[in-house]
Amino acid sequence: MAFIEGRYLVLGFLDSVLTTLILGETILNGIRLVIIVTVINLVTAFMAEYIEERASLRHIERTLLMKSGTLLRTSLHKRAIYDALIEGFVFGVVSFIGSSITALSMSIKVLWIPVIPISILGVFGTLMSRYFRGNAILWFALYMILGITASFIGHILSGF
Amino acid sequence: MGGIRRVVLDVDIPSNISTVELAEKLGRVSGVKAVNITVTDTDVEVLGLIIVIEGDGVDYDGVKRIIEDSGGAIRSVDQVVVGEYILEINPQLIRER
Repeated sequence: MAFIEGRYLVLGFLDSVLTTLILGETILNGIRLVIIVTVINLVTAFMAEYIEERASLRHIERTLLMKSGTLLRTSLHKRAIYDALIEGFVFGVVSFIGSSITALSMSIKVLWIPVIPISILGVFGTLMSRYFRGNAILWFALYMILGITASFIGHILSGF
Repeated sequence: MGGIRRVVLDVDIPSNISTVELAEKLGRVSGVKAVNITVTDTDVEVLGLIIVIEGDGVDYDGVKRIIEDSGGAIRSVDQVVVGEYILEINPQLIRER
């Protein structure tokens, strides 16, 4: 079974929330926006992971003095595709969740700031800081600043 | 005259491959009755193995396919025994060469 990298959970959520905050003011159809963010993230995560796996196979081929492409016919390559699909799927699901929550709650604002997604980002930052024993308050503030900045960019872009 | 009764292979595999899984897959090849995988060399990325397979009419192509499909490379065939019984070589003959 594929090991799910923690970075895909963090990337998926953060990327989708920030993208939705920026684009949400210009792409007013929430469903369309969620689908765009999810599909793009799923595809890019799969490609990124697959390229890493292929590079790893190529490295093994060189170590074993094999001709380039020899391992593409083996179960190792099938396993690489499977692992990349799983990572892409996880990234897609987390992106969908992050984007959906943001799109559904963006209308509740203070000035230009969508309160609920920004608060969720702050909580997410705190949870992440526990993962590596960082300063919870610092990471709470950092994630909130990221969210406020993204929503500000979206607010400015909507004026064009 | 019988088929392959024993084959001894010098194999390199990536170190992230399970030798247990490899042995189980080889054990299911046609004609195989026993498999011995011994690690002779360890590296960060490569495991050097000696694989001994015994049986009755061992399907060598099947063995080769399993090893290569697992990402391994057969470096050499160090011993092959074919016939009605396993003919052991006299160690004295090897020493005298």
